[in-house]
Amino acid sequence: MANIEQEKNNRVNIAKSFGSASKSYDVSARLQRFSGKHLMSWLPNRHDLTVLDLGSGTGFFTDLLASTYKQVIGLDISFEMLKFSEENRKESILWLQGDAHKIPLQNNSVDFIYSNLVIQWFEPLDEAITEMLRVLKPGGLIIFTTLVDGTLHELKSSWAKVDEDQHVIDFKTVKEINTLFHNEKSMLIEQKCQDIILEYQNVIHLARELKGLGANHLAEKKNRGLSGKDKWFKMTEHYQDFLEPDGIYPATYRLFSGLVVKLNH
Amino acid sequence: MAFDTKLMEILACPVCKGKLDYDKEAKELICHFDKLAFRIEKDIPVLLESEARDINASKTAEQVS
Repeated sequence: MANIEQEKNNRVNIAKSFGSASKSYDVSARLQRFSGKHLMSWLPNRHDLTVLDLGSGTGFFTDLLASTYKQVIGLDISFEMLKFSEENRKESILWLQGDAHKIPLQNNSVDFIYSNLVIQWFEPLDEAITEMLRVLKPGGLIIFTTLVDGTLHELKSSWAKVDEDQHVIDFKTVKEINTLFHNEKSMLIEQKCQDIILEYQNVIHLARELKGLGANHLAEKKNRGLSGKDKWFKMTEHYQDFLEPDGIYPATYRLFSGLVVKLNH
Repeated sequence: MAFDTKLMEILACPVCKGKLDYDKEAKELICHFDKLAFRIEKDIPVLLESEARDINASKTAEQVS
């Protein structure tokens, strides 16, 4: 019970974290743009489809989906993001505030789910997957990207030399993702994994962009603010081990793209 | 988009996943099973259990006053 309460609280904090990022999001989200476009080749060719953009964020890709498909729904947990989307995106899109663990749609109502760099925040992920499969029609697809273990390894190892706190969230491994999507109801039919290295002028730049993505939230983080400056400085010193010859700070994002089909039986 | 009644065929209560009814005047989506009313704010249905209005509780309050 305590765990459920804790998870609930974490989810709200994540929502707040993303909400405050809604205005800076579109400019700082280089990775989202890259990964979202990356998924386009898996999109179905038919047009008369009902599509759910799960974790629609600023609605950038929801808008693209709406230029192809008949009925497009953008679902997000942040009202601020949805309000921004409602004001800036195509009028034909239906925006819904909801939780991926309790999707407010009927069973077998959606042809495919598009989800770009969102499911790494879902906790517990298996419950969200059960919900996705519930709302999908038999034969329906989940087309998604997520970040997996190995993401921000430079930051993780730099912090590990400073203290034992957790500063980077635990990303699922590729094996875990495979196990989660291979079950009696679904099959992972295509997958790709690639490292995207983004370059930063300094660690502050990196931190600012992580903040811009709303990704600075850490569920397990302890000792927040205690001698923060000192530790931060020590961490940036260790980060210099990864410095590229031209003085650029790299950060690795291990991007997993998957195509899942809901089985017919 | 302006709320479209066609969408009632696809929307569901986040709690019981059952169908919702649209109360046009109150701008709310009603789940009769769970006795919950979900508001529509700036054309965006707020379909979170934590944000829903308990229909029974508000009726009782009205009767008292």
